[in-house]
Amino acid sequence: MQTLRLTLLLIVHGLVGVALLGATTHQAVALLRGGGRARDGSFTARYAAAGRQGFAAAIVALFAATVALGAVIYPDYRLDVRVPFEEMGLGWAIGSFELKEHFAGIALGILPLYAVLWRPQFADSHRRDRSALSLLLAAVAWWDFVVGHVLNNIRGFG
Amino acid sequence: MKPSFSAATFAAAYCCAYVGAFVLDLPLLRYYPLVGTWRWWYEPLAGAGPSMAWYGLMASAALVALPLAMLVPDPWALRRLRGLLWLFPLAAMLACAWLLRQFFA
Repeated sequence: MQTLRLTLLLIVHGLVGVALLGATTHQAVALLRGGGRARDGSFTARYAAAGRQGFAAAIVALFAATVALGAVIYPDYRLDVRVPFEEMGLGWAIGSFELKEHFAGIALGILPLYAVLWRPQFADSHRRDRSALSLLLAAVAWWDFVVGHVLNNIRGFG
Repeated sequence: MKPSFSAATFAAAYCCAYVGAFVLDLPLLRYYPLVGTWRWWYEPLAGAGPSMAWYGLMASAALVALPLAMLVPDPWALRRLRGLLWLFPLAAMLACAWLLRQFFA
């Protein structure tokens, strides 16, 4: 029963993470390409032309949900996954996960600012902060997703 | 009067406090997953298996950042730190990476 609960939580954590990855990546690509220029009709141009502002609320909600789900699963990782990693001498895997948790913890603290900076009144005055924070959140989402995926491949729950 | 909350101050203070709590090993509380128990930072539980500081680090950072975010108004912080706000989380993440470098040696 406990294994089933963990497996379900891990799957939901992963699925919410995928949604977050999609939203942050979409916003990041739109920011890097300047957005709003879909005239050539190519896939990448239309991908980058997505309304960047529309993603902000979804990213805040998805980030908070992903971290909350991760926080619920974390004790089981600490006992069932990290201890074997230590026995196997997989320091890089432990360190990668430590980075994942710290990056997520720090990102959680900047979500209110991220949401504020995406308000229309800060569009011009805080363009650099808003873009950099958005790219940073996308980078954290990618790091956390890849590390979680690789570590789960090395040794999953159960 | 409605209490104000400065997201800019909160973010900057949270990032600094997070790294400070990590460096000084001062999580507000620790969780002991083997026995399913929480303990304050000043009462570690010996012989209870591994402890987890992550929740406590976020709590420590929020504990420092929340009152500051109530005291320092957003317009002031947003004006003073314009163009620099993104550096706080980036610096905090780089500091964490540096502090964890022994895992990759």
